[in-house]
Amino acid sequence: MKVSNKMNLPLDGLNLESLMETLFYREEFLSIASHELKTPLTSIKLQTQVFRRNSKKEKNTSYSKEKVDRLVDQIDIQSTRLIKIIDDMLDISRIRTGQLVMTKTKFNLSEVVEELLPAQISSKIESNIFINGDRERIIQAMSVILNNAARYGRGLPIKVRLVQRKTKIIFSVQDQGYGISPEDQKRIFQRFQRAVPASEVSGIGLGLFIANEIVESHNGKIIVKSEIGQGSTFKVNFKREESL
Amino acid sequence: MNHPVCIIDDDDDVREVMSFALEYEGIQSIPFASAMQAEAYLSNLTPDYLPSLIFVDFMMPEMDGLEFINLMRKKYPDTLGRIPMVLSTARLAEDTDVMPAGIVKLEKPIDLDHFIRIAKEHYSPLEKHASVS
Ligand SMILES: Nc1ncnc2c1ncn2[C@@H]1O[C@H](COP(=O)(O)OP(=O)(O)O)[C@@H](O)[C@H]1O
Ligand SMILES: [Mg+2]
Repeated sequence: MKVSNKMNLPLDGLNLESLMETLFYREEFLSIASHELKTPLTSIKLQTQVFRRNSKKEKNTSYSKEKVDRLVDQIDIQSTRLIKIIDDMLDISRIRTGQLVMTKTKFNLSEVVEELLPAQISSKIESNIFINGDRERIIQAMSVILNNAARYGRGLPIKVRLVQRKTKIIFSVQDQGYGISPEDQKRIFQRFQRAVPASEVSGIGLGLFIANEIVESHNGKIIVKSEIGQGSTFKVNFKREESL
Repeated sequence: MNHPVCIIDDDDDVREVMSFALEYEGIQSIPFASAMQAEAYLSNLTPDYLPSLIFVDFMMPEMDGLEFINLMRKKYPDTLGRIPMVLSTARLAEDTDVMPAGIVKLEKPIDLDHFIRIAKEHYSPLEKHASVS
Protein backbone atom coordinates (compact mmCIF):
# COMPACT_ATOMS: atom_id res chain seq x y z
CA MET A 1 0.00 0.00 0.00
CA LYS A 2 1.63 3.24 -1.18
CA VAL A 3 -0.13 6.41 -0.16
CA SER A 4 0.70 9.82 -1.55
CA ASN A 5 1.88 12.53 0.76
CA LYS A 6 -1.22 14.73 0.51
CA MET A 7 -0.25 17.02 3.33
CA ASN A 8 3.03 17.91 1.67
CA LEU A 9 4.90 17.20 4.84
CA PRO A 10 8.63 16.93 4.50
CA LEU A 11 8.53 13.17 4.46
CA ASP A 12 11.48 12.57 2.16
CA GLY A 13 12.36 8.94 2.31
CA LEU A 14 9.37 8.21 4.49
CA ASN A 15 5.95 7.08 3.48
CA LEU A 16 2.70 6.38 5.23
CA GLU A 17 3.39 2.69 5.10
CA SER A 18 6.55 2.93 7.13
CA LEU A 19 4.89 5.35 9.53
CA MET A 20 2.05 2.91 10.06
CA GLU A 21 4.57 0.17 10.58
CA THR A 22 6.37 2.25 13.19
CA LEU A 23 3.10 2.89 14.97
CA PHE A 24 2.19 -0.76 14.84
CA TYR A 25 5.47 -1.78 16.38
CA ARG A 26 5.12 0.88 19.02
CA GLU A 27 1.69 -0.52 19.98
CA GLU A 28 3.08 -3.99 19.95
CA PHE A 29 6.01 -2.80 22.03
CA LEU A 30 3.74 -1.30 24.67
CA SER A 31 1.88 -4.54 24.92
CA ILE A 32 5.08 -6.56 25.25
CA ALA A 33 6.63 -4.10 27.69
CA SER A 34 3.51 -4.26 29.82
CA HIS A 35 3.80 -8.02 30.07
CA GLU A 36 7.58 -8.04 30.60
CA LEU A 37 7.49 -5.45 33.36
CA LYS A 38 4.39 -6.67 35.11
CA THR A 39 5.39 -10.33 35.31
CA PRO A 40 8.37 -9.79 37.64
CA LEU A 41 6.34 -7.18 39.51
CA THR A 42 3.55 -9.70 40.01
CA SER A 43 5.96 -12.01 41.68
CA ILE A 44 7.52 -9.29 43.86
CA LYS A 45 4.17 -7.85 44.90
CA LEU A 46 2.73 -11.25 45.75
CA GLN A 47 5.73 -12.13 47.91
CA THR A 48 5.58 -8.89 49.85
CA GLN A 49 1.80 -9.06 50.24
CA VAL A 50 2.08 -12.61 51.57
CA PHE A 51 4.46 -11.36 54.27
CA ARG A 52 2.29 -8.41 55.12
CA ARG A 53 -0.93 -10.37 55.25
CA ASN A 54 0.73 -12.81 57.61
CA SER A 55 2.20 -10.18 59.90
CA LYS A 56 -1.20 -8.45 60.17
CA LYS A 57 -2.81 -11.57 61.54
CA GLU A 58 -3.03 -11.81 65.32
CA LYS A 59 -1.76 -15.31 65.33
CA ASN A 60 0.77 -15.13 62.56
CA THR A 61 2.44 -18.17 61.17
CA SER A 62 6.18 -18.24 61.46
CA TYR A 63 7.57 -19.28 58.13
CA SER A 64 10.48 -21.67 58.05
CA LYS A 65 13.91 -20.19 57.40
CA GLU A 66 14.03 -22.02 54.05
CA LYS A 67 10.73 -20.52 53.00
CA VAL A 68 11.77 -17.01 53.95
CA ASP A 69 15.11 -17.39 52.19
CA ARG A 70 13.37 -18.62 49.09
CA LEU A 71 10.83 -15.81 48.99
CA VAL A 72 13.52 -13.21 49.53
CA ASP A 73 15.73 -14.76 46.85
CA GLN A 74 12.86 -14.65 44.42
CA ILE A 75 12.21 -10.99 45.15
CA ASP A 76 15.88 -10.35 44.47
CA ILE A 77 15.94 -12.30 41.21
CA GLN A 78 12.77 -10.62 39.94
CA SER A 79 14.13 -7.19 40.83
CA THR A 80 17.24 -7.97 38.83
CA ARG A 81 15.04 -8.96 35.92
CA LEU A 82 13.35 -5.57 36.10
CA ILE A 83 16.62 -3.69 36.37
CA LYS A 84 17.88 -5.48 33.27
CA ILE A 85 14.86 -4.31 31.26
CA ILE A 86 15.21 -0.75 32.52
CA ASP A 87 18.95 -0.74 31.72
CA ASP A 88 18.18 -1.84 28.18
CA MET A 89 15.64 0.95 27.81
CA LEU A 90 18.14 3.48 29.12
CA ASP A 91 20.72 2.17 26.67
CA ILE A 92 18.48 2.70 23.68
CA SER A 93 17.77 6.21 24.75
CA ARG A 94 21.54 6.76 25.11
CA ILE A 95 22.03 5.35 21.63
CA ARG A 96 19.41 7.68 20.19
CA THR A 97 21.06 10.72 21.70
CA GLY A 98 24.57 9.56 20.88
CA GLN A 99 25.49 9.13 24.53
CA LEU A 100 26.48 5.50 24.51
CA VAL A 101 30.12 6.24 25.15
CA MET A 102 32.81 3.58 24.85
CA THR A 103 35.72 3.73 27.26
CA LYS A 104 38.39 1.69 25.56
CA THR A 105 41.30 -0.09 27.16
CA LYS A 106 43.41 -3.00 26.06
CA PHE A 107 42.29 -6.23 27.69
CA ASN A 108 42.45 -10.01 27.37
CA LEU A 109 39.29 -11.00 25.52
CA SER A 110 39.99 -14.72 25.91
CA GLU A 111 39.85 -14.45 29.69
CA VAL A 112 36.66 -12.42 29.53
CA VAL A 113 34.95 -15.00 27.31
CA GLU A 114 36.14 -17.89 29.49
CA GLU A 115 34.61 -16.21 32.51
CA LEU A 116 31.36 -15.53 30.71
CA LEU A 117 30.71 -19.15 29.78
CA PRO A 118 28.75 -21.48 32.01
CA ALA A 119 30.79 -24.60 32.78
CA GLN A 120 28.86 -27.12 30.73
CA ILE A 121 29.17 -25.30 27.40
CA SER A 122 31.38 -26.77 24.71
CA SER A 123 33.83 -24.15 23.57
CA LYS A 124 37.01 -23.49 21.73
CA ILE A 125 38.66 -20.39 23.10
CA GLU A 126 42.11 -19.45 21.81
CA SER A 127 44.04 -17.96 24.67
CA ASN A 128 45.58 -14.52 24.94
CA ILE A 129 43.56 -12.72 22.33
CA PHE A 130 43.77 -9.04 23.16
CA ILE A 131 41.44 -6.29 22.07
CA ASN A 132 41.19 -2.55 22.55
CA GLY A 133 37.67 -1.82 23.67
CA ASP A 134 35.10 -1.10 26.33
CA ARG A 135 35.31 -4.21 28.47
CA GLU A 136 31.89 -3.95 30.12
CA ARG A 137 30.12 -3.11 26.88
CA ILE A 138 31.76 -5.97 25.01
CA ILE A 139 30.72 -8.33 27.81
CA GLN A 140 27.20 -6.95 27.48
CA ALA A 141 27.10 -7.57 23.71
CA MET A 142 28.46 -11.08 24.02
CA SER A 143 26.06 -11.88 26.84
CA VAL A 144 23.12 -10.91 24.66
CA ILE A 145 24.21 -13.41 22.02
CA LEU A 146 24.99 -16.14 24.54
CA ASN A 147 21.71 -15.66 26.38
CA ASN A 148 19.77 -15.68 23.14
CA ALA A 149 21.36 -18.99 22.18
CA ALA A 150 20.17 -20.38 25.49
CA ARG A 151 16.70 -18.84 25.27
CA TYR A 152 16.00 -19.69 21.64
CA GLY A 153 18.13 -22.86 21.57
CA ARG A 154 15.38 -25.32 22.55
CA GLY A 155 17.60 -26.55 25.36
CA LEU A 156 20.04 -28.18 22.94
CA PRO A 157 23.81 -27.83 23.36
CA ILE A 158 25.46 -24.67 22.06
CA LYS A 159 28.99 -24.17 20.76
CA VAL A 160 31.13 -21.13 21.43
CA ARG A 161 34.31 -20.17 19.64
CA LEU A 162 36.83 -17.38 19.97
CA VAL A 163 39.61 -17.38 17.39
CA GLN A 164 42.12 -14.99 15.93
CA ARG A 165 42.97 -14.67 12.25
CA LYS A 166 45.49 -12.47 10.48
CA THR A 167 43.18 -9.49 10.28
CA LYS A 168 40.30 -10.29 12.58
CA ILE A 169 39.03 -11.71 15.83
CA ILE A 170 35.96 -13.92 15.59
CA PHE A 171 33.58 -14.74 18.42
CA SER A 172 30.82 -17.11 17.43
CA VAL A 173 27.90 -18.81 19.12
CA GLN A 174 26.09 -21.66 17.44
CA ASP A 175 22.80 -23.09 18.62
CA GLN A 176 20.45 -25.79 17.36
CA GLY A 177 17.29 -23.92 18.19
CA TYR A 178 14.33 -22.42 16.39
CA GLY A 179 16.35 -20.70 13.66
CA ILE A 180 15.46 -17.39 11.99
CA SER A 181 13.96 -16.89 8.53
CA PRO A 182 15.92 -14.77 6.00
CA GLU A 183 13.44 -11.85 6.27
CA ASP A 184 13.60 -11.89 10.06
CA GLN A 185 17.41 -12.00 10.06
CA LYS A 186 17.45 -8.39 8.88
CA ARG A 187 14.68 -7.23 11.15
CA ILE A 188 15.88 -8.56 14.51
CA PHE A 189 18.73 -6.05 14.78
CA GLN A 190 16.27 -3.19 14.88
CA ARG A 191 14.71 -1.80 18.01
CA PHE A 192 11.80 -3.79 19.48
CA GLN A 193 11.86 -6.29 16.64
CA ARG A 194 11.19 -9.86 17.62
CA ALA A 195 10.74 -12.91 15.46
CA VAL A 196 8.93 -15.10 17.98
CA PRO A 197 5.47 -14.61 19.45
CA ALA A 198 5.67 -12.85 22.81
CA SER A 199 3.97 -15.79 24.45
CA GLU A 200 6.66 -18.27 23.36
CA VAL A 201 9.82 -16.73 24.77
CA SER A 202 9.58 -13.51 26.74
CA GLY A 203 11.72 -10.52 25.83
CA ILE A 204 11.39 -6.95 24.61
CA GLY A 205 13.51 -7.09 21.48
CA LEU A 206 16.28 -4.70 22.46
CA GLY A 207 19.21 -7.03 23.05
CA LEU A 208 20.53 -7.39 19.51
CA PHE A 209 19.94 -3.74 18.71
CA ILE A 210 22.16 -2.73 21.61
CA ALA A 211 24.71 -5.49 20.95
CA ASN A 212 24.99 -4.41 17.33
CA GLU A 213 25.46 -0.80 18.34
CA ILE A 214 28.26 -1.77 20.75
CA VAL A 215 30.00 -3.97 18.19
CA GLU A 216 29.77 -1.28 15.51
CA SER A 217 31.27 1.26 17.91
CA HIS A 218 34.29 -1.04 17.91
CA ASN A 219 34.36 -1.17 14.11
CA GLY A 220 33.06 -4.70 14.30
CA LYS A 221 30.16 -6.49 12.71
CA ILE A 222 27.59 -9.09 13.79
CA ILE A 223 26.75 -11.67 11.16
CA VAL A 224 23.95 -14.18 11.44
CA LYS A 225 23.59 -17.46 9.59
CA SER A 226 20.47 -19.41 10.29
CA GLU A 227 17.95 -21.82 8.98
CA ILE A 228 14.46 -22.28 10.37
CA GLY A 229 14.28 -25.39 12.51
CA GLN A 230 18.01 -26.02 12.26
CA GLY A 231 19.53 -23.38 14.48
CA SER A 232 21.50 -20.17 14.26
CA THR A 233 25.08 -18.98 14.36
CA PHE A 234 25.83 -15.45 15.48
CA LYS A 235 29.33 -14.29 14.65
CA VAL A 236 30.96 -11.16 15.95
CA ASN A 237 33.92 -10.01 13.88
CA PHE A 238 36.36 -7.46 15.24
CA LYS A 239 39.24 -6.01 13.28
CA ARG A 240 42.54 -7.15 14.69
CA GLU A 241 44.76 -4.23 15.49
CA GLU A 242 48.44 -4.72 14.63
CA SER A 243 49.75 -3.06 17.76
CA LEU A 244 47.98 -5.46 20.14
CA MET B 1 -10.52 -33.51 51.29
CA ASN B 2 -11.45 -30.45 49.25
CA HIS B 3 -11.86 -29.59 45.61
CA PRO B 4 -8.58 -27.87 45.01
CA VAL B 5 -8.00 -24.62 43.21
CA CYS B 6 -6.00 -24.99 40.05
CA ILE B 7 -3.27 -22.54 39.04
CA ILE B 8 -1.90 -22.49 35.50
CA ASP B 9 0.97 -20.06 34.88
CA ASP B 10 4.19 -20.42 32.91
CA ASP B 11 6.14 -18.18 35.30
CA ASP B 12 7.61 -20.46 37.99
CA ASP B 13 7.85 -17.79 40.67
CA VAL B 14 4.37 -16.45 40.16
CA ARG B 15 2.90 -19.94 40.22
CA GLU B 16 4.78 -20.88 43.34
CA VAL B 17 3.86 -17.84 45.36
CA MET B 18 0.20 -18.07 44.30
CA SER B 19 0.11 -21.65 45.59
CA PHE B 20 1.96 -20.65 48.73
CA ALA B 21 -0.46 -17.84 49.48
CA LEU B 22 -3.44 -20.18 49.13
CA GLU B 23 -1.79 -22.85 51.24
CA TYR B 24 -1.59 -20.41 54.16
CA GLU B 25 -5.29 -19.73 53.84
CA GLY B 26 -5.96 -23.44 54.09
CA ILE B 27 -6.78 -23.72 50.40
CA GLN B 28 -5.32 -26.64 48.58
CA SER B 29 -4.04 -25.91 45.08
CA ILE B 30 -2.60 -27.78 42.11
CA PRO B 31 -0.11 -25.83 40.01
CA PHE B 32 0.60 -26.42 36.31
CA ALA B 33 3.30 -24.78 34.18
CA SER B 34 1.30 -25.06 30.98
CA ALA B 35 -2.25 -25.38 29.72
CA MET B 36 -1.37 -28.68 28.08
CA GLN B 37 -0.16 -30.21 31.34
CA ALA B 38 -3.31 -28.99 33.03
CA GLU B 39 -5.56 -30.54 30.40
CA ALA B 40 -3.70 -33.85 30.51
CA TYR B 41 -4.18 -34.06 34.26
CA LEU B 42 -7.64 -32.60 34.66
CA SER B 43 -9.25 -34.55 31.84
CA ASN B 44 -8.47 -37.77 33.70
CA LEU B 45 -10.22 -36.77 36.91
CA THR B 46 -13.60 -38.20 37.75
CA PRO B 47 -16.22 -35.45 38.19
CA ASP B 48 -16.12 -35.90 41.96
CA TYR B 49 -12.54 -34.70 42.07
CA LEU B 50 -12.68 -31.72 39.74
CA PRO B 51 -11.17 -28.46 40.95
CA SER B 52 -13.54 -25.84 42.27
CA LEU B 53 -11.85 -22.98 40.42
CA ILE B 54 -9.14 -22.48 37.80
CA PHE B 55 -6.77 -19.51 37.64
CA VAL B 56 -5.17 -19.46 34.22
CA ASP B 57 -2.57 -17.04 32.88
CA PHE B 58 -3.26 -15.37 29.54
CA MET B 59 0.21 -15.20 28.00
CA MET B 60 1.68 -18.69 27.81
CA PRO B 61 3.51 -20.59 25.07
CA GLU B 62 1.75 -23.11 22.87
CA MET B 63 -1.71 -22.65 24.37
CA ASP B 64 -2.68 -19.33 25.93
CA GLY B 65 -5.17 -18.92 28.76
CA LEU B 66 -8.06 -17.88 26.56
CA GLU B 67 -7.51 -20.81 24.22
CA PHE B 68 -7.46 -23.09 27.24
CA ILE B 69 -10.78 -21.78 28.53
CA ASN B 70 -12.42 -22.04 25.14
CA LEU B 71 -11.08 -25.55 24.65
CA MET B 72 -12.36 -26.71 28.03
CA ARG B 73 -15.82 -25.35 27.31
CA LYS B 74 -15.95 -26.95 23.89
CA LYS B 75 -14.32 -30.29 24.61
CA TYR B 76 -15.67 -30.93 28.11
CA PRO B 77 -18.89 -28.91 28.27
CA ASP B 78 -20.34 -30.92 31.16
CA THR B 79 -17.27 -31.28 33.35
CA LEU B 80 -14.14 -29.13 33.05
CA GLY B 81 -16.00 -26.60 30.94
CA ARG B 82 -18.30 -25.79 33.85
CA ILE B 83 -15.61 -24.93 36.34
CA PRO B 84 -15.37 -21.18 37.02
CA MET B 85 -12.30 -19.74 35.29
CA VAL B 86 -10.27 -16.66 36.14
CA LEU B 87 -7.95 -15.30 33.47
CA SER B 88 -4.93 -13.51 34.91
CA THR B 89 -3.14 -11.10 32.65
CA ALA B 90 -0.19 -8.73 32.63
CA ARG B 91 -1.09 -7.33 29.25
CA LEU B 92 -2.50 -3.89 28.57
CA ALA B 93 -6.08 -3.53 29.69
CA GLU B 94 -7.03 -2.69 26.07
CA ASP B 95 -5.72 -6.02 24.85
CA THR B 96 -8.17 -7.94 26.98
CA ASP B 97 -11.13 -5.58 26.74
CA VAL B 98 -13.35 -8.03 24.95
CA MET B 99 -13.73 -11.18 26.99
CA PRO B 100 -16.03 -14.07 26.22
CA ALA B 101 -18.97 -14.33 28.63
CA GLY B 102 -18.44 -15.63 32.12
CA ILE B 103 -14.70 -15.15 32.35
CA VAL B 104 -13.41 -13.19 35.29
CA LYS B 105 -10.30 -11.14 34.61
CA LEU B 106 -7.57 -10.78 37.21
CA GLU B 107 -5.05 -8.06 36.46
CA LYS B 108 -1.37 -8.58 37.17
CA PRO B 109 0.29 -7.45 39.41
CA ILE B 110 -2.25 -9.39 41.42
CA ASP B 111 -3.81 -7.92 44.53
CA LEU B 112 -3.39 -10.68 47.10
CA ASP B 113 -6.53 -9.96 49.12
CA HIS B 114 -8.60 -9.89 45.96
CA PHE B 115 -7.03 -13.13 44.76
CA ILE B 116 -7.71 -14.89 48.05
CA ARG B 117 -11.25 -13.56 48.16
CA ILE B 118 -12.00 -15.04 44.73
CA ALA B 119 -10.42 -18.35 45.71
CA LYS B 120 -12.41 -18.54 48.96
CA GLU B 121 -15.68 -17.73 47.25
CA HIS B 122 -15.33 -20.77 45.04
CA TYR B 123 -13.43 -23.18 47.24
CA SER B 124 -15.75 -25.83 48.50
CA PRO B 125 -15.37 -29.02 50.45
CA LEU B 126 -15.56 -32.10 48.29
CA GLU B 127 -18.77 -33.42 49.87
CA LYS B 128 -20.72 -30.24 49.24
CA HIS B 129 -19.60 -29.96 45.67
CA ALA B 130 -22.60 -31.64 44.07
CA SER B 131 -23.65 -28.43 42.34
CA VAL B 132 -20.97 -28.70 39.69
CA SER B 133 -22.28 -31.93 38.17
N1 LIG C 1 19.80 -17.56 18.72
C1 LIG C 1 18.60 -17.20 18.22
N2 LIG C 1 17.79 -18.13 17.62
C2 LIG C 1 16.59 -17.77 17.12
N3 LIG C 1 16.09 -16.53 17.15
C3 LIG C 1 16.83 -15.57 17.73
C4 LIG C 1 18.13 -15.84 18.28
N4 LIG C 1 18.62 -14.69 18.78
C5 LIG C 1 17.69 -13.75 18.54
N5 LIG C 1 16.62 -14.27 17.90
C6 LIG C 1 15.41 -13.54 17.46
O1 LIG C 1 15.73 -12.17 17.42
C7 LIG C 1 14.77 -11.42 18.19
C8 LIG C 1 15.44 -10.20 18.80
O2 LIG C 1 16.39 -10.60 19.79
P1 LIG C 1 16.83 -9.59 20.91
O3 LIG C 1 17.08 -8.27 20.27
O4 LIG C 1 17.95 -10.18 21.67
O5 LIG C 1 15.54 -9.37 21.83
P2 LIG C 1 14.61 -10.39 22.64
O6 LIG C 1 15.36 -11.66 22.80
O7 LIG C 1 14.32 -9.67 23.89
O8 LIG C 1 13.40 -10.56 21.77
C9 LIG C 1 14.24 -12.41 19.18
O9 LIG C 1 12.95 -12.03 19.61
C10 LIG C 1 14.24 -13.70 18.38
O10 LIG C 1 13.08 -13.77 17.59
MG1 LIG D 1 2.70 -15.85 31.27
